Amino acid sequence: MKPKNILLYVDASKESRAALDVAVDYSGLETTIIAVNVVNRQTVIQLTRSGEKSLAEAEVELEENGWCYLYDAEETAKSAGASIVILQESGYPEEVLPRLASEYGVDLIIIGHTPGLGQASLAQQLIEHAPCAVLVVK
Amino acid sequence: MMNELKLSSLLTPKNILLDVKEKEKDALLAKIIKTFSEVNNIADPEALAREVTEREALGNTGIGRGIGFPHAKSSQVEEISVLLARPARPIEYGALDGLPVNLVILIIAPDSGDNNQYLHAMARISRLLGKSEVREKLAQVKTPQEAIDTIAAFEN
Repeated sequence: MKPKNILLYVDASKESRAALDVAVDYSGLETTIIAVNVVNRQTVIQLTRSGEKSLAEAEVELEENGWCYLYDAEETAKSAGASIVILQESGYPEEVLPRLASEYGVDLIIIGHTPGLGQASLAQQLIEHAPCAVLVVK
Repeated sequence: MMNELKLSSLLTPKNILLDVKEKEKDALLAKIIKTFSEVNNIADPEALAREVTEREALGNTGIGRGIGFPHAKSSQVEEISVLLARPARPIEYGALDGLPVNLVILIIAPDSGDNNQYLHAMARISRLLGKSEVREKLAQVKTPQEAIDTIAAFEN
């Protein structure tokens, strides 16, 4: 049976693109892909601490880039005939994704696996705390 | 960031509708597309309406926080064009967060245009209208020019 609601984590990585392709493949006629980008507080803090950017600059960059990834994912999914809605949240992905999965009655969370960028631990934390199945795409 | 296309540079008093009377989403979108087509001299408004509604059917464009953001690529325009509408009363839009919309912005890009510019324009607009202070100011403006000035002030 096809999942009704897929929660897809969208970021800049190529694994995230691969995860999108899998989400589209897994979609049935009744499936909605809920694509979410999280403006990661940890990344904001890192950019600010390094002196690379001010807090406002870091937030603007991460928010705008995040929306770009979301609209790009939306374009890809809709072009393939898949149903998709997009949203952006702020916080920590390991907290935001399980919360959204519960709120929206998600059957399946799909994320890309990018070792070395904290995603491995995100996958582990999701498997531990998500209220539904988690698919990690390599 | 590249492609610094600003919303205020795309707006004129003609492509801003304040206190739109339509009470349902479909009627509101029809009104917006009709006005957009008139302002931009669209050759085939029905084709444009189809393109927007077909995209909408594949995923609600309510992006949360009371914003509706219908968008499409179309052969009917030669450059990125927008229309901003503020309903007289919040409209049930079917957004994921369940909130009715207070602001709707339609953006149409040429189907053969620069996709990167289109994505960045939508990203900038989404971020801008995601700010509560921007939405609060836009809820209070009394004229289209005031709306443009408000948006320009936040973009600069």
